[in-house]
Amino acid sequence: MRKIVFPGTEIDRSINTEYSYTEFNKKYISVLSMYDSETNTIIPLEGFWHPNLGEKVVGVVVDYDRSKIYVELSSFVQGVIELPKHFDNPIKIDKGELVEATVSAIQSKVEVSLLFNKILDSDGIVIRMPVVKMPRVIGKNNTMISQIIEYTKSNIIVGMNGVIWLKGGNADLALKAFEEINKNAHIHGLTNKIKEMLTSSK
Amino acid sequence: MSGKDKPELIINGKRTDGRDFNELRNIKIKAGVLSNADGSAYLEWGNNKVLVAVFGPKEAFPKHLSDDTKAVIKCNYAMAPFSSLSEHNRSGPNRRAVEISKVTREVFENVVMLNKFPGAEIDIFIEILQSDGGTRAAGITAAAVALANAGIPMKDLVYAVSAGRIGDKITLDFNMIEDNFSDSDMPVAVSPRNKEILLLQMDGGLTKEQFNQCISYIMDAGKTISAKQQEALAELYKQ
Repeated sequence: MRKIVFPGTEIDRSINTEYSYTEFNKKYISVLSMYDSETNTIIPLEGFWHPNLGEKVVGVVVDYDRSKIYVELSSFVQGVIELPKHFDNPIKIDKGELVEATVSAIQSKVEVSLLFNKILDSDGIVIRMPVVKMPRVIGKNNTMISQIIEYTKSNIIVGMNGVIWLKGGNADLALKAFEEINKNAHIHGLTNKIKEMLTSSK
Repeated sequence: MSGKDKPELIINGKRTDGRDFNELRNIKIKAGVLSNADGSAYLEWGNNKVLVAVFGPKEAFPKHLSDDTKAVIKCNYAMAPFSSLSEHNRSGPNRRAVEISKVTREVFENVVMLNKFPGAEIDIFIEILQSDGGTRAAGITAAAVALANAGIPMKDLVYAVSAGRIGDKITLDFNMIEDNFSDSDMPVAVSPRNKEILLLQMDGGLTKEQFNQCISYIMDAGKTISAKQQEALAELYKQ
């Protein structure tokens, strides 16, 4: 059974979720969420990106200086790529370019250090998704994203900060799949539903 | 206005619009009505029509107003020029709008978990499209829904409603005429989780017993208002 829980709703203390707070030994929900009584978990329906170590992100270069590249990751979190001190492998980059990177250290709630992975082609398609829906985009053991890649043959990079970059293949079909996930992120059996959609429109 | 011009507010033991003394007006809430805002809500409370949009958290601007330890809330309450008969026929901030923006901001500074977003700002825009008394309460009730719709972490879903006194009768949820001519008017915002009072303003006077009666009416009405708020949010995720 699933039911919607609202900010201020008391929940059982055994439920482990970051979308809650404790007051006088009682635990309350802080974000509009769905409670699943079978798995005893809280699934947030709305929310913001809070960086975790090792997460892959996609961001836009907003500035750079002699030693750092500044990347906008969300409306209030900025990433910093430290440039290497030697010249073996220089990064050629300009403002406005899209980069894929990995979170390597979290300085504060508003600044994270990034490990540079690669520059993404500017002729790709970029879409923004609510961050709380990213787990559904990836699916259990990557099932969702790998089936989308398999059927569309697109080159897709999913940033956990809510940015998806895709290029080539059947991009329209991939976009349609992401739109469907965005609309129905809270329902059961989404992976099968998307699979049906992908096979029928192939 | 002199006592002579005061209209009769209680006729045959009923209020001018036929309601009981502890009866709310009809409330209708719809969440997520604006696609460009991060969160939004539209509320109809009797003849009041209120539209609320929430933006953020985003980088605080201007920079000197930002706080490195928590987010700042900016609230803007505005009455549309066409919202009432004549008094608010000029748009833009006035003394009353500045005051209501301030008290609304202070309500939400107590429930929004600001420390999660240091250096950020959260904008709340409350637009009164049609007014019929009790718009600050309607604005706060709608803003709570819009904030939840935006996914901003909050301790509770706040509601607000006014109560007061007509003669010696304690009355809930004033409309415009009652608001203008009642003997006492008290808008209150409540956090229903622990019945904490987040806003309390008062015109006129109440005895201690009358005050307690007002609060008990407001707490009872809160159950209905909270249910409407939750319904509006749940409606978005119907399976």
